[in-house]
Amino acid sequence: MNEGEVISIKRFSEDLFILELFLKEETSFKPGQFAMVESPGRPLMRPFSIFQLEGKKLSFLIRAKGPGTNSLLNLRPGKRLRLILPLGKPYPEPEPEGEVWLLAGGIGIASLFPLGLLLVKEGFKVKLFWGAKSASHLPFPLLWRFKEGGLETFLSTEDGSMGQKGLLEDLIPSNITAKTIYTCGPVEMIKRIFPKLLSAPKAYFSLEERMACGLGACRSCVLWMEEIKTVCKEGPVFEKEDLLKWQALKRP
Amino acid sequence: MASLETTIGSIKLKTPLMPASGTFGYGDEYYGLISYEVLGAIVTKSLSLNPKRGNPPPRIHELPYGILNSIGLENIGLERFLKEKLPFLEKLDLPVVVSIFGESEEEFLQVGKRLKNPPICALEVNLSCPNVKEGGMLFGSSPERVHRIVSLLKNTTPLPLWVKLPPDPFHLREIVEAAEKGGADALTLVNTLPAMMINPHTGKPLLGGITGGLSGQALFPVALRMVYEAYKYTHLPIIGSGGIYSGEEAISFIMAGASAIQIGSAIFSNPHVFSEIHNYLIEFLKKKNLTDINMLKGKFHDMENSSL
Repeated sequence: MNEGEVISIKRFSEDLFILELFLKEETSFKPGQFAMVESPGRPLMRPFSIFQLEGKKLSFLIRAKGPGTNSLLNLRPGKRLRLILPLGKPYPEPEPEGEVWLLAGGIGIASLFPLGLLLVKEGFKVKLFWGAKSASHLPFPLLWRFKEGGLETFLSTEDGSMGQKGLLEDLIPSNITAKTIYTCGPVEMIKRIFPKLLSAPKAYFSLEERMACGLGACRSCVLWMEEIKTVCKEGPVFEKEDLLKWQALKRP
Repeated sequence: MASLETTIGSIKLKTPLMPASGTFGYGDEYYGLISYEVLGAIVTKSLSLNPKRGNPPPRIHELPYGILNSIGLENIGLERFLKEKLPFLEKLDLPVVVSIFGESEEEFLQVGKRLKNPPICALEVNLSCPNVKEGGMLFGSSPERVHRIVSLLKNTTPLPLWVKLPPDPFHLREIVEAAEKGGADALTLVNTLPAMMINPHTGKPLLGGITGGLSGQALFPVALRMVYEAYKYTHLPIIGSGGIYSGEEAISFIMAGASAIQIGSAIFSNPHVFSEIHNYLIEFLKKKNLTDINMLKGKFHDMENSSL
Protein backbone atom coordinates (compact mmCIF):
# COMPACT_ATOMS: atom_id res chain seq x y z
CA MET A 1 0.00 0.00 0.00
CA ASN A 2 1.04 3.54 -0.60
CA GLU A 3 -0.46 6.95 -0.06
CA GLY A 4 -0.45 10.11 -2.13
CA GLU A 5 -1.02 13.68 -1.09
CA VAL A 6 -2.78 15.84 -3.66
CA ILE A 7 -0.39 18.46 -5.01
CA SER A 8 -2.67 19.87 -7.68
CA ILE A 9 -5.51 19.24 -10.05
CA LYS A 10 -4.85 20.68 -13.49
CA ARG A 11 -7.95 20.97 -15.55
CA PHE A 12 -7.65 20.95 -19.34
CA SER A 13 -11.31 21.12 -20.24
CA GLU A 14 -14.77 20.56 -18.82
CA ASP A 15 -13.96 16.98 -17.82
CA LEU A 16 -10.28 16.31 -18.46
CA PHE A 17 -7.72 16.76 -15.71
CA ILE A 18 -4.36 15.72 -14.35
CA LEU A 19 -4.31 14.64 -10.71
CA GLU A 20 -0.86 15.16 -9.30
CA LEU A 21 0.11 13.40 -6.07
CA PHE A 22 3.13 13.33 -3.81
CA LEU A 23 3.83 9.73 -2.80
CA LYS A 24 4.59 8.67 0.73
CA GLU A 25 6.90 5.94 -0.49
CA GLU A 26 8.97 6.02 -3.64
CA THR A 27 8.14 3.43 -6.25
CA SER A 28 8.65 2.75 -9.94
CA PHE A 29 6.52 1.65 -12.86
CA LYS A 30 6.61 0.56 -16.46
CA PRO A 31 4.27 2.10 -19.06
CA GLY A 32 0.96 0.24 -19.16
CA GLN A 33 0.84 -0.46 -15.44
CA PHE A 34 -1.90 1.06 -13.31
CA ALA A 35 -2.79 2.10 -9.79
CA MET A 36 -5.87 1.58 -7.66
CA VAL A 37 -6.83 4.99 -6.30
CA GLU A 38 -9.18 5.74 -3.43
CA SER A 39 -12.26 7.68 -4.55
CA PRO A 40 -13.34 9.61 -1.48
CA GLY A 41 -16.83 8.67 -0.33
CA ARG A 42 -17.21 5.82 -2.80
CA PRO A 43 -17.23 2.09 -1.98
CA LEU A 44 -14.65 1.15 -4.62
CA MET A 45 -11.15 2.35 -5.47
CA ARG A 46 -10.66 3.21 -9.14
CA PRO A 47 -8.04 1.85 -11.55
CA PHE A 48 -6.06 4.48 -13.49
CA SER A 49 -3.13 4.03 -15.84
CA ILE A 50 0.02 5.63 -14.50
CA PHE A 51 0.61 8.72 -16.61
CA GLN A 52 3.85 10.01 -15.14
CA LEU A 53 6.08 9.19 -12.21
CA GLU A 54 9.18 11.21 -11.37
CA GLY A 55 10.68 10.52 -7.97
CA LYS A 56 7.75 10.75 -5.62
CA LYS A 57 5.65 12.83 -8.00
CA LEU A 58 2.90 10.73 -9.52
CA SER A 59 0.22 11.84 -11.93
CA PHE A 60 -2.87 10.46 -13.59
CA LEU A 61 -4.66 11.80 -16.65
CA ILE A 62 -8.36 11.35 -15.90
CA ARG A 63 -11.66 12.06 -17.59
CA ALA A 64 -14.44 12.84 -15.13
CA LYS A 65 -17.35 10.74 -16.22
CA GLY A 66 -18.97 9.31 -13.09
CA PRO A 67 -19.19 9.68 -9.33
CA GLY A 68 -15.71 8.22 -8.68
CA THR A 69 -13.78 10.38 -11.13
CA ASN A 70 -15.85 13.43 -10.13
CA SER A 71 -14.96 12.85 -6.48
CA LEU A 72 -11.30 13.19 -7.52
CA LEU A 73 -11.85 16.24 -9.72
CA ASN A 74 -13.13 18.20 -6.73
CA LEU A 75 -10.30 17.37 -4.33
CA ARG A 76 -8.20 20.05 -2.71
CA PRO A 77 -4.43 20.07 -2.32
CA GLY A 78 -3.33 18.31 0.86
CA LYS A 79 -5.95 15.56 0.72
CA ARG A 80 -4.41 12.10 1.15
CA LEU A 81 -5.50 9.18 -0.98
CA ARG A 82 -4.85 5.49 -0.46
CA LEU A 83 -3.08 3.92 -3.43
CA ILE A 84 -2.01 0.49 -4.57
CA LEU A 85 0.68 0.58 -7.26
CA PRO A 86 2.22 -0.45 -9.57
CA LEU A 87 -0.28 -3.10 -10.68
CA GLY A 88 -0.75 -5.24 -13.77
CA LYS A 89 1.48 -6.20 -16.65
CA PRO A 90 3.19 -3.42 -18.61
CA TYR A 91 3.39 -3.06 -22.37
CA PRO A 92 5.97 -5.56 -23.66
CA GLU A 93 9.05 -4.33 -25.53
CA PRO A 94 8.46 -3.61 -29.23
CA GLU A 95 9.95 -5.69 -32.02
CA PRO A 96 13.62 -4.65 -32.27
CA GLU A 97 13.33 -3.25 -35.80
CA GLY A 98 10.65 -1.23 -37.53
CA GLU A 99 8.03 1.34 -36.84
CA VAL A 100 5.90 1.52 -33.70
CA TRP A 101 2.30 2.79 -33.79
CA LEU A 102 0.38 3.99 -30.80
CA LEU A 103 -3.39 4.03 -31.21
CA ALA A 104 -5.13 6.04 -28.53
CA GLY A 105 -8.87 6.38 -28.19
CA GLY A 106 -9.73 9.40 -26.03
CA ILE A 107 -8.39 9.06 -22.51
CA GLY A 108 -6.57 5.88 -23.64
CA ILE A 109 -3.66 8.28 -24.24
CA ALA A 110 -2.97 8.12 -20.50
CA SER A 111 -1.06 4.83 -20.71
CA LEU A 112 0.41 5.39 -24.19
CA PHE A 113 1.90 8.79 -23.35
CA PRO A 114 4.69 7.46 -21.09
CA LEU A 115 5.26 4.55 -23.49
CA GLY A 116 5.64 6.87 -26.47
CA LEU A 117 8.14 9.14 -24.75
CA LEU A 118 10.17 6.15 -23.57
CA LEU A 119 10.29 4.48 -26.99
CA VAL A 120 11.36 7.67 -28.72
CA LYS A 121 14.16 8.00 -26.18
CA GLU A 122 15.19 4.43 -26.94
CA GLY A 123 15.49 5.36 -30.62
CA PHE A 124 12.30 3.88 -32.06
CA LYS A 125 10.37 5.58 -34.81
CA VAL A 126 7.00 6.17 -33.17
CA LYS A 127 3.76 7.36 -34.75
CA LEU A 128 0.86 8.34 -32.55
CA PHE A 129 -2.69 8.16 -33.84
CA TRP A 130 -5.05 9.82 -31.41
CA GLY A 131 -8.78 9.95 -31.88
CA ALA A 132 -11.26 11.73 -29.63
CA LYS A 133 -14.80 13.09 -29.63
CA SER A 134 -13.77 16.69 -30.05
CA ALA A 135 -10.85 19.09 -29.70
CA SER A 136 -11.56 19.60 -26.02
CA HIS A 137 -10.44 16.00 -25.45
CA LEU A 138 -7.10 16.62 -27.14
CA PRO A 139 -5.40 18.94 -24.67
CA PHE A 140 -2.91 21.25 -26.29
CA PRO A 141 -0.22 21.02 -23.57
CA LEU A 142 -0.05 17.27 -24.13
CA LEU A 143 0.16 17.62 -27.90
CA TRP A 144 3.00 20.04 -27.38
CA ARG A 145 4.87 17.54 -25.26
CA PHE A 146 4.49 14.87 -27.94
CA LYS A 147 5.94 17.24 -30.51
CA GLU A 148 8.84 18.04 -28.19
CA GLY A 149 9.34 14.37 -27.47
CA GLY A 150 9.66 13.64 -31.19
CA LEU A 151 6.47 11.69 -31.80
CA GLU A 152 4.88 12.02 -35.18
CA THR A 153 1.27 12.77 -34.27
CA PHE A 154 -1.95 12.25 -36.24
CA LEU A 155 -5.26 13.43 -34.85
CA SER A 156 -8.90 12.82 -35.54
CA THR A 157 -12.09 14.06 -33.91
CA GLU A 158 -15.63 12.83 -34.40
CA ASP A 159 -16.93 16.36 -34.84
CA GLY A 160 -14.03 17.55 -36.97
CA SER A 161 -13.03 20.26 -34.50
CA MET A 162 -9.40 19.17 -34.75
CA GLY A 163 -7.47 16.90 -37.12
CA GLN A 164 -9.28 14.58 -39.50
CA LYS A 165 -13.04 14.32 -39.07
CA GLY A 166 -14.08 10.80 -38.19
CA LEU A 167 -13.08 7.82 -36.08
CA LEU A 168 -9.63 6.59 -35.14
CA GLU A 169 -9.87 3.54 -37.40
CA ASP A 170 -10.32 5.86 -40.38
CA LEU A 171 -7.21 7.78 -39.39
CA ILE A 172 -4.78 4.88 -39.52
CA PRO A 173 -3.38 3.86 -42.92
CA SER A 174 -4.97 0.73 -44.36
CA ASN A 175 -1.49 -0.58 -45.11
CA ILE A 176 -0.08 -1.59 -41.74
CA THR A 177 3.60 -0.71 -41.93
CA ALA A 178 4.24 -0.94 -38.18
CA LYS A 179 6.02 -3.91 -36.69
CA THR A 180 4.47 -3.25 -33.28
CA ILE A 181 1.15 -1.63 -32.44
CA TYR A 182 -0.03 -0.58 -29.00
CA THR A 183 -3.71 0.29 -28.54
CA CYS A 184 -5.54 1.75 -25.58
CA GLY A 185 -9.08 3.04 -25.53
CA PRO A 186 -12.70 2.20 -24.80
CA VAL A 187 -13.91 -1.33 -25.51
CA GLU A 188 -16.18 -0.15 -28.33
CA MET A 189 -13.20 1.39 -30.12
CA ILE A 190 -11.10 -1.74 -29.61
CA LYS A 191 -13.90 -3.89 -31.01
CA ARG A 192 -14.00 -1.80 -34.18
CA ILE A 193 -10.27 -1.49 -34.69
CA PHE A 194 -9.21 -5.03 -33.73
CA PRO A 195 -9.93 -6.72 -37.10
CA LYS A 196 -7.88 -4.09 -38.92
CA LEU A 197 -4.77 -4.83 -36.90
CA LEU A 198 -4.63 -8.59 -37.37
CA SER A 199 -1.91 -8.31 -40.04
CA ALA A 200 0.49 -6.49 -37.71
CA PRO A 201 3.37 -8.72 -36.52
CA LYS A 202 2.73 -7.68 -32.93
CA ALA A 203 -0.30 -5.88 -31.53
CA TYR A 204 -1.00 -5.17 -27.88
CA PHE A 205 -4.22 -3.89 -26.36
CA SER A 206 -4.71 -2.30 -22.98
CA LEU A 207 -8.23 -2.94 -21.72
CA GLU A 208 -10.42 -1.43 -19.05
CA GLU A 209 -13.02 -3.18 -16.90
CA ARG A 210 -14.69 -2.50 -13.60
CA MET A 211 -12.51 -3.59 -10.73
CA ALA A 212 -12.85 -3.92 -6.98
CA CYS A 213 -9.49 -5.16 -5.70
CA GLY A 214 -6.94 -4.80 -8.51
CA LEU A 215 -5.15 -7.92 -7.25
CA GLY A 216 -7.03 -10.83 -8.80
CA ALA A 217 -8.85 -11.63 -5.57
CA CYS A 218 -12.40 -10.46 -6.24
CA ARG A 219 -12.74 -11.83 -9.80
CA SER A 220 -14.76 -8.83 -10.99
CA CYS A 221 -12.78 -7.68 -14.03
CA VAL A 222 -12.85 -10.84 -16.12
CA LEU A 223 -12.57 -11.23 -19.87
CA TRP A 224 -15.22 -13.72 -20.89
CA MET A 225 -13.35 -16.34 -22.89
CA GLU A 226 -12.67 -20.05 -22.69
CA GLU A 227 -10.01 -19.62 -20.07
CA ILE A 228 -11.18 -16.65 -18.04
CA LYS A 229 -8.58 -13.91 -17.55
CA THR A 230 -8.64 -10.96 -15.20
CA VAL A 231 -7.83 -7.52 -16.57
CA CYS A 232 -6.10 -6.51 -13.32
CA LYS A 233 -3.71 -9.43 -12.95
CA GLU A 234 -3.24 -11.08 -16.34
CA GLY A 235 -3.73 -7.70 -18.04
CA PRO A 236 -4.46 -4.91 -18.52
CA VAL A 237 -2.27 -5.43 -21.61
CA PHE A 238 -3.12 -8.37 -23.83
CA GLU A 239 -1.64 -9.62 -27.09
CA LYS A 240 -3.90 -9.84 -30.10
CA GLU A 241 -3.59 -13.64 -29.97
CA ASP A 242 -5.15 -13.59 -26.47
CA LEU A 243 -8.06 -11.47 -27.61
CA LEU A 244 -8.92 -13.66 -30.60
CA LYS A 245 -10.72 -15.82 -28.05
CA TRP A 246 -12.43 -12.91 -26.30
CA GLN A 247 -16.15 -13.21 -26.79
CA ALA A 248 -16.84 -9.48 -26.53
CA LEU A 249 -14.99 -9.03 -29.85
CA LYS A 250 -17.18 -11.58 -31.57
CA ARG A 251 -20.41 -9.81 -30.69
CA PRO A 252 -21.38 -6.88 -32.90
CA MET B 1 -2.55 -4.57 26.27
CA ALA B 2 -6.15 -5.74 26.28
CA SER B 3 -6.78 -9.15 24.80
CA LEU B 4 -8.58 -9.55 21.49
CA GLU B 5 -8.35 -13.32 21.65
CA THR B 6 -11.62 -15.10 21.05
CA THR B 7 -12.87 -18.61 20.44
CA ILE B 8 -15.33 -20.12 18.00
CA GLY B 9 -16.15 -23.43 19.63
CA SER B 10 -12.82 -25.24 19.98
CA ILE B 11 -10.96 -22.87 17.66
CA LYS B 12 -8.83 -20.20 19.22
CA LEU B 13 -8.47 -16.97 17.26
CA LYS B 14 -5.78 -14.39 17.98
CA THR B 15 -8.18 -11.62 17.02
CA PRO B 16 -11.88 -11.60 16.10
CA LEU B 17 -11.14 -10.20 12.62
CA MET B 18 -11.23 -12.13 9.39
CA PRO B 19 -12.02 -11.47 5.75
CA ALA B 20 -15.44 -12.41 4.41
CA SER B 21 -15.42 -15.21 1.87
CA GLY B 22 -15.10 -14.06 -1.71
CA THR B 23 -13.43 -10.74 -0.99
CA PHE B 24 -9.99 -12.09 -0.11
CA GLY B 25 -9.40 -14.63 -2.88
CA TYR B 26 -7.58 -17.70 -1.64
CA GLY B 27 -5.59 -15.77 0.94
CA ASP B 28 -2.41 -15.10 -1.02
CA GLU B 29 -3.52 -12.10 -3.08
CA TYR B 30 -3.19 -9.51 -0.30
CA TYR B 31 0.01 -10.94 1.13
CA GLY B 32 2.74 -8.30 1.27
CA LEU B 33 0.22 -5.50 0.80
CA ILE B 34 -1.42 -5.55 4.22
CA SER B 35 -0.53 -6.91 7.63
CA TYR B 36 -1.79 -10.44 8.25
CA GLU B 37 -0.75 -10.12 11.91
CA VAL B 38 -4.06 -8.58 12.88
CA LEU B 39 -6.15 -11.36 11.34
CA GLY B 40 -7.67 -14.12 13.44
CA ALA B 41 -8.18 -16.42 10.48
CA ILE B 42 -8.25 -16.52 6.70
CA VAL B 43 -11.55 -17.32 5.01
CA THR B 44 -11.20 -18.47 1.42
CA LYS B 45 -13.37 -17.88 -1.58
CA SER B 46 -16.08 -20.54 -1.88
CA LEU B 47 -14.85 -23.78 -3.42
CA SER B 48 -16.79 -26.33 -5.41
CA LEU B 49 -15.66 -29.77 -6.51
CA ASN B 50 -14.97 -28.78 -10.10
CA PRO B 51 -13.76 -25.39 -11.32
CA LYS B 52 -16.63 -23.01 -12.00
CA ARG B 53 -16.67 -20.18 -14.57
CA GLY B 54 -19.09 -17.94 -12.77
CA ASN B 55 -21.19 -15.28 -14.46
CA PRO B 56 -20.41 -13.19 -17.54
CA PRO B 57 -19.32 -9.57 -16.95
CA PRO B 58 -20.18 -6.99 -15.84
CA ARG B 59 -19.81 -8.60 -12.45
CA ILE B 60 -19.77 -5.60 -10.20
CA HIS B 61 -21.78 -2.43 -9.88
CA GLU B 62 -21.03 0.29 -7.39
CA LEU B 63 -23.83 2.09 -5.58
CA PRO B 64 -23.54 5.07 -3.25
CA TYR B 65 -24.51 2.80 -0.35
CA GLY B 66 -22.87 -0.49 -1.24
CA ILE B 67 -21.70 -2.89 -3.91
CA LEU B 68 -23.72 -5.20 -6.10
CA ASN B 69 -21.88 -8.26 -7.40
CA SER B 70 -22.61 -11.29 -9.50
CA ILE B 71 -19.31 -13.14 -9.59
CA GLY B 72 -21.36 -16.33 -9.76
CA LEU B 73 -19.10 -18.34 -7.43
CA GLU B 74 -16.27 -18.57 -9.97
CA ASN B 75 -13.54 -20.70 -8.41
CA ILE B 76 -10.60 -22.91 -9.32
CA GLY B 77 -12.14 -26.08 -7.89
CA LEU B 78 -10.98 -28.35 -5.11
CA GLU B 79 -8.00 -30.02 -6.84
CA ARG B 80 -6.30 -26.84 -7.91
CA PHE B 81 -6.93 -25.31 -4.48
CA LEU B 82 -5.20 -28.21 -2.76
CA LYS B 83 -2.28 -28.13 -5.17
CA GLU B 84 -1.78 -24.42 -5.82
CA LYS B 85 -3.19 -22.53 -2.85
CA LEU B 86 -2.97 -24.70 0.24
CA PRO B 87 0.87 -24.83 0.33
CA PHE B 88 0.95 -21.03 0.75
CA LEU B 89 -1.71 -21.14 3.47
CA GLU B 90 0.29 -23.82 5.29
CA LYS B 91 3.17 -21.37 5.66
CA LEU B 92 1.02 -18.73 7.34
CA ASP B 93 0.66 -19.12 11.05
CA LEU B 94 -3.10 -18.66 10.80
CA PRO B 95 -6.16 -20.89 11.03
CA VAL B 96 -7.80 -21.29 7.63
CA VAL B 97 -11.53 -21.52 7.14
CA VAL B 98 -12.43 -22.91 3.74
CA SER B 99 -15.77 -21.82 2.35
CA ILE B 100 -17.50 -24.61 0.44
CA PHE B 101 -20.54 -24.96 -1.78
CA GLY B 102 -22.06 -27.39 -4.20
CA GLU B 103 -24.74 -27.43 -6.83
CA SER B 104 -26.03 -30.62 -5.30
CA GLU B 105 -25.85 -32.30 -1.91
CA GLU B 106 -23.39 -34.86 -3.31
CA GLU B 107 -21.05 -32.13 -4.53
CA PHE B 108 -21.19 -30.41 -1.14
CA LEU B 109 -20.25 -33.67 0.58
CA GLN B 110 -17.45 -34.49 -1.83
CA VAL B 111 -15.83 -31.11 -1.25
CA GLY B 112 -16.37 -31.35 2.48
CA LYS B 113 -14.71 -34.69 2.95
CA ARG B 114 -11.54 -33.79 1.03
CA LEU B 115 -10.71 -30.78 3.21
CA LYS B 116 -9.56 -31.98 6.56
CA ASN B 117 -5.91 -31.31 7.32
CA PRO B 118 -4.36 -28.34 9.11
CA PRO B 119 -4.15 -25.44 8.62
CA ILE B 120 -7.81 -25.91 7.70
CA CYS B 121 -9.61 -25.52 11.02
CA ALA B 122 -13.23 -25.23 9.91
CA LEU B 123 -15.49 -25.30 6.89
CA GLU B 124 -17.79 -22.42 6.18
CA VAL B 125 -20.91 -23.77 4.50
CA ASN B 126 -22.14 -21.29 1.90
CA LEU B 127 -25.88 -21.83 1.69
CA SER B 128 -26.47 -18.91 -0.68
CA CYS B 129 -26.04 -21.18 -3.67
CA PRO B 130 -28.64 -22.91 -5.81
CA ASN B 131 -29.42 -26.60 -5.59
CA VAL B 132 -29.65 -27.46 -9.28
CA LYS B 133 -31.56 -30.66 -8.59
CA GLU B 134 -34.21 -28.67 -6.78
CA GLY B 135 -34.74 -26.29 -9.67
CA GLY B 136 -32.22 -23.79 -8.37
CA MET B 137 -33.73 -23.23 -4.94
CA LEU B 138 -31.11 -21.86 -2.58
CA PHE B 139 -29.85 -24.33 0.02
CA GLY B 140 -30.41 -21.70 2.65
CA SER B 141 -33.96 -20.89 1.64
CA SER B 142 -35.86 -23.23 3.97
CA PRO B 143 -35.29 -24.77 7.40
CA GLU B 144 -35.69 -28.30 5.96
CA ARG B 145 -33.02 -27.77 3.32
CA VAL B 146 -30.66 -26.19 5.84
CA HIS B 147 -31.15 -29.03 8.30
CA ARG B 148 -30.59 -31.65 5.64
CA ILE B 149 -27.38 -30.32 4.15
CA VAL B 150 -25.85 -29.45 7.52
CA SER B 151 -26.56 -32.88 9.02
CA LEU B 152 -25.25 -34.64 5.91
CA LEU B 153 -22.04 -32.64 6.09
CA LYS B 154 -21.76 -33.24 9.82
CA ASN B 155 -21.63 -36.98 9.13
CA THR B 156 -18.98 -36.47 6.46
CA THR B 157 -16.36 -34.29 8.08
CA PRO B 158 -14.81 -34.06 11.53
CA LEU B 159 -14.13 -30.33 11.01
CA PRO B 160 -16.34 -27.74 12.69
CA LEU B 161 -19.04 -26.35 10.39
CA TRP B 162 -19.67 -22.63 10.25
CA VAL B 163 -23.01 -22.31 8.55
CA LYS B 164 -23.29 -19.07 6.57
CA LEU B 165 -26.85 -17.93 6.11
CA PRO B 166 -28.50 -15.61 3.62
CA PRO B 167 -30.14 -12.53 5.18
CA ASP B 168 -33.72 -13.80 5.24
CA PRO B 169 -35.22 -11.55 7.90
CA PHE B 170 -38.49 -13.45 8.29
CA HIS B 171 -37.40 -17.06 8.79
CA LEU B 172 -34.36 -16.39 10.88
CA ARG B 173 -35.39 -18.30 13.96
CA GLU B 174 -36.47 -21.45 12.10
CA ILE B 175 -33.34 -21.45 9.98
CA VAL B 176 -31.01 -20.85 12.90
CA GLU B 177 -32.63 -23.66 14.83
CA ALA B 178 -32.47 -25.97 11.80
CA ALA B 179 -28.75 -25.30 11.41
CA GLU B 180 -28.14 -25.92 15.10
CA LYS B 181 -30.13 -29.14 15.09
CA GLY B 182 -28.29 -30.28 11.96
CA GLY B 183 -25.01 -30.00 13.84
CA ALA B 184 -23.66 -26.54 13.02
CA ASP B 185 -20.75 -25.47 15.23
CA ALA B 186 -21.13 -21.78 14.48
CA LEU B 187 -23.19 -19.42 12.36
CA THR B 188 -21.92 -16.78 9.98
CA LEU B 189 -24.48 -14.02 9.64
CA VAL B 190 -25.00 -12.84 6.94
CA ASN B 191 -24.29 -13.44 3.27
CA THR B 192 -25.11 -10.79 0.63
CA LEU B 193 -28.70 -9.74 0.05
CA PRO B 194 -30.16 -10.83 -3.32
CA ALA B 195 -30.55 -7.69 -5.43
CA MET B 196 -30.48 -6.29 -8.95
CA MET B 197 -30.28 -3.11 -11.02
CA ILE B 198 -31.73 -2.29 -14.43
CA ASN B 199 -30.45 0.40 -16.75
CA PRO B 200 -33.72 2.15 -17.66
CA HIS B 201 -32.18 3.74 -20.76
CA THR B 202 -31.14 0.49 -22.39
CA GLY B 203 -33.54 -1.85 -20.64
CA LYS B 204 -30.59 -4.09 -19.85
CA PRO B 205 -29.44 -5.42 -16.47
CA LEU B 206 -26.39 -3.78 -14.93
CA LEU B 207 -24.97 -7.19 -14.02
CA GLY B 208 -24.12 -9.96 -16.47
CA GLY B 209 -25.75 -12.45 -14.13
CA ILE B 210 -28.88 -10.22 -14.02
CA THR B 211 -29.29 -10.65 -10.26
CA GLY B 212 -26.54 -10.54 -7.70
CA GLY B 213 -25.78 -9.83 -4.08
CA LEU B 214 -25.77 -6.52 -2.25
CA SER B 215 -23.00 -5.91 0.25
CA GLY B 216 -21.47 -2.90 1.94
CA GLN B 217 -22.99 -0.03 3.90
CA ALA B 218 -26.62 -0.81 3.07
CA LEU B 219 -26.30 -4.30 4.52
CA PHE B 220 -24.93 -3.21 7.89
CA PRO B 221 -28.16 -2.52 9.84
CA VAL B 222 -29.85 -5.57 8.29
CA ALA B 223 -27.01 -7.86 9.32
CA LEU B 224 -26.70 -6.28 12.75
CA ARG B 225 -30.34 -6.95 13.48
CA MET B 226 -29.98 -10.55 12.37
CA VAL B 227 -27.02 -11.12 14.69
CA TYR B 228 -28.99 -9.49 17.50
CA GLU B 229 -32.01 -11.74 16.89
CA ALA B 230 -30.04 -14.94 16.32
CA TYR B 231 -28.14 -14.45 19.58
CA LYS B 232 -31.44 -14.84 21.43
CA TYR B 233 -32.30 -18.12 19.73
CA THR B 234 -29.04 -20.01 19.81
CA HIS B 235 -26.03 -20.79 21.96
CA LEU B 236 -23.85 -21.29 18.91
CA PRO B 237 -21.08 -18.77 18.43
CA ILE B 238 -21.93 -16.16 15.79
CA ILE B 239 -19.53 -14.67 13.27
CA GLY B 240 -21.05 -11.36 12.22
CA SER B 241 -20.66 -10.05 8.70
CA GLY B 242 -22.31 -7.33 6.66
CA GLY B 243 -21.17 -3.81 5.85
CA ILE B 244 -18.56 -3.44 8.60
CA TYR B 245 -16.23 -0.56 7.71
CA SER B 246 -15.15 0.79 11.08
CA GLY B 247 -14.23 -0.11 14.63
CA GLU B 248 -17.52 1.31 15.88
CA GLU B 249 -19.44 -0.99 13.58
CA ALA B 250 -17.34 -3.97 14.63
CA ILE B 251 -18.11 -3.24 18.29
CA SER B 252 -21.83 -2.92 17.50
CA PHE B 253 -21.74 -6.43 16.05
CA ILE B 254 -19.92 -7.81 19.08
CA MET B 255 -22.38 -6.11 21.42
CA ALA B 256 -25.25 -7.62 19.40
CA GLY B 257 -23.75 -11.04 20.07
CA ALA B 258 -21.02 -11.76 17.55
CA SER B 259 -17.94 -13.65 18.81
CA ALA B 260 -15.98 -12.63 15.73
CA ILE B 261 -16.54 -10.54 12.64
CA GLN B 262 -15.85 -10.76 8.95
CA ILE B 263 -14.97 -7.80 6.79
CA GLY B 264 -15.69 -7.88 3.07
CA SER B 265 -16.63 -4.89 0.96
CA ALA B 266 -14.64 -2.48 3.12
CA ILE B 267 -11.43 -4.11 1.88
CA PHE B 268 -12.18 -2.68 -1.58
CA SER B 269 -12.05 0.93 -0.46
CA ASN B 270 -9.46 0.41 2.26
CA PRO B 271 -7.27 -2.70 2.37
CA HIS B 272 -5.91 -1.41 5.71
CA VAL B 273 -9.33 -1.83 7.30
CA PHE B 274 -8.23 -4.85 9.36
CA SER B 275 -5.36 -2.97 11.01
CA GLU B 276 -7.50 0.10 11.57
CA ILE B 277 -10.30 -1.87 13.23
CA HIS B 278 -7.75 -3.85 15.22
CA ASN B 279 -6.21 -0.67 16.61
CA TYR B 280 -9.61 0.81 17.33
CA LEU B 281 -10.67 -2.25 19.33
CA ILE B 282 -7.51 -2.10 21.45
CA GLU B 283 -8.01 1.62 22.12
CA PHE B 284 -11.71 1.16 22.84
CA LEU B 285 -11.06 -1.54 25.44
CA LYS B 286 -8.37 0.59 27.03
CA LYS B 287 -10.68 3.60 27.28
CA LYS B 288 -13.43 1.51 28.83
CA ASN B 289 -10.98 -0.13 31.22
CA LEU B 290 -11.74 -3.57 29.84
CA THR B 291 -9.13 -6.29 29.57
CA ASP B 292 -10.80 -8.62 27.12
CA ILE B 293 -12.92 -8.19 23.99
CA ASN B 294 -15.21 -10.99 25.13
CA MET B 295 -16.45 -8.73 27.92
CA LEU B 296 -18.33 -6.82 25.21
CA LYS B 297 -19.92 -9.86 23.65
CA GLY B 298 -23.73 -9.68 23.82
CA LYS B 299 -23.44 -6.59 26.00
CA PHE B 300 -26.37 -5.00 24.24
CA HIS B 301 -28.63 -7.82 25.43
CA ASP B 302 -27.56 -7.32 29.04
CA MET B 303 -28.36 -3.64 28.84
CA GLU B 304 -31.66 -4.35 27.15
CA ASN B 305 -32.64 -6.91 29.76
CA SER B 306 -31.63 -4.78 32.73
CA SER B 307 -33.62 -1.80 31.50
CA LEU B 308 -36.82 -3.83 31.38
